[in-house]
Amino acid sequence: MNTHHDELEQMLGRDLHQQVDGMSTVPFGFSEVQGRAHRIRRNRRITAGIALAAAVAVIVPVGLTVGGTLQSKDEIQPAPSPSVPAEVSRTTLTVNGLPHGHAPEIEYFTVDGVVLPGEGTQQLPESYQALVPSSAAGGWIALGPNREEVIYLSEDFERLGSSPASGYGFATTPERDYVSWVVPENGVQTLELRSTTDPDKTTSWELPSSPPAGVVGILGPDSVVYETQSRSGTTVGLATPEGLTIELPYLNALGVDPVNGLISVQTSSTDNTGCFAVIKAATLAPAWETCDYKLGSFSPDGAYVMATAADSDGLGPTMVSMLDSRTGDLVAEFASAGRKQVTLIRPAWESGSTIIATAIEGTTTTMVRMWVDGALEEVADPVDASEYGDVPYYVGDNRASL
Amino acid sequence: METLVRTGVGMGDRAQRRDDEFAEYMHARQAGLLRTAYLLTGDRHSAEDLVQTSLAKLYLSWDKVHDRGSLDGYVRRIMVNENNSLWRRAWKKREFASETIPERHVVDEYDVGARGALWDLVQTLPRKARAVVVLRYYEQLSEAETAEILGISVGTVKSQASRALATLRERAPELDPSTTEEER
Repeated sequence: MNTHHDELEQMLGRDLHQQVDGMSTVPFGFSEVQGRAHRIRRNRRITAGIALAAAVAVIVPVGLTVGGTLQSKDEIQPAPSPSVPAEVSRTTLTVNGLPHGHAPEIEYFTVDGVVLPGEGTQQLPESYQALVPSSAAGGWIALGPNREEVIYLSEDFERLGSSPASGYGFATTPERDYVSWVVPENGVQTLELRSTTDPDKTTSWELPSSPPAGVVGILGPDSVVYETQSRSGTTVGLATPEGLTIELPYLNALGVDPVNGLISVQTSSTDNTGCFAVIKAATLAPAWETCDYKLGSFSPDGAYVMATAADSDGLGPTMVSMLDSRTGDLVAEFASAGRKQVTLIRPAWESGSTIIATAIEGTTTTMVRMWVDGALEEVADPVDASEYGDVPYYVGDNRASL
Repeated sequence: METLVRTGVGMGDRAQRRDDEFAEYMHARQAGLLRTAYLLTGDRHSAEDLVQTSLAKLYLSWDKVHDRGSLDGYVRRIMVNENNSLWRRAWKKREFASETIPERHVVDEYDVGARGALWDLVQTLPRKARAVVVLRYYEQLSEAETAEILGISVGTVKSQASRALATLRERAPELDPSTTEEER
């Protein structure tokens, strides 16, 4: 019955082999790999308290006043260098022997469905990547398994309709009153920003048909930060209340804080590391910059920004930090120690003072809650991942950071 | 003093053994890793950089991988994650967008001449879907092994692979064995 399907798979396998089967020469040896390893190690400066790099002046070619007018050649002054606070919470990450905390206050997914706070596990018709309540959509808005479809669901999770999505997924505000994604349809890409409660509240911006675009975060009811991804790299864009789209001079955007109008961005990239900044959306001026951390999303109240080591390992972060979003000061840090490396999957803000993440140490997997005061607790029963053969829990795509 | 000297020699021996062990693994596997990296990235220069970075990270983690039998899976996981990571996207931006950094010109024998039509289409797939295709249909890994490397569920691997095949079928009906002559 699957003959044609299997034939295509076999044809695909043969075609891939034909592309590379004669490829055998590798133009580097052990010494080059060792040299690169030493550079990576040298750049792993994750110890807090390292003097932060001097703030830099950034000339932004086009400045934007949110709710105002565009100004060309808006020169931005250096931001004051942040200081290191006296008290910083430091906690060693582990999944063993942790106190058991209350269940997560945000939804998360398991192989059985979605676990909703206070309601337990609800079975889902598909393996969604995100789920947001929306009376405007009939009950819920879900992100499809491949992130290429946004699905409207009834309160009982029955499919009511759908919209194409660009594969980047969607973004929501902390209150989840707005949701935004890019709709690629009929050769046109439209950036949509929709109220989850009022079906008439929709704002859209037309983007070029290529390269593919996706939403990073929502700045307000009429402004969105997005990225486009082409073979030549990522471009950061800002969709403004005036209906304009403006390219920002940064390599990537990582998070958006609608409460204080802040955006976390990557400003430069070197061999496996780089520098990051928090910029003010109103002026595009940097509030502060760091080359010691890779920045992520903001806490729901905008007080903190999540961060990890500036040259995070490809396996996933083995540490997570909470920085003061106004100054860049380190507030709390949760890091693996010695050989006991704990990998964090999809760390996400649960509240203004807690981060939730799936944590893996060896083959043991659990969900942990990290508090801004340094407390660490498990919030799900540990699972032996090697026996389970699957990632047992993960938070929604729209909430995940880093 | 004698103890200290002996300890020092012992540590040096251990480091040398470690390097020898790593070098042996690297020489045995790097050509295979390069082939996978090429299929993930689509060009030779990026593939070489990806392999070198992944091997460097493996070198730094060498002592952590107690089960030597799991090395292939471990380095594949590093490679796929590196390729999907922010850093590589940023690196590519620097590589292609900067006018000040001269690009290294690579004559790529695999970029010229006739290519498989399916390969052309595979390169248009989203990065993560392409990783699923490469691991499932080139590396011939099981759905569970692919899921473990990508850090996603088996269900997501299934749906990504199915979606990728559907996309290929839709974009190139002439290559689909199930398409009739008339439909072509």
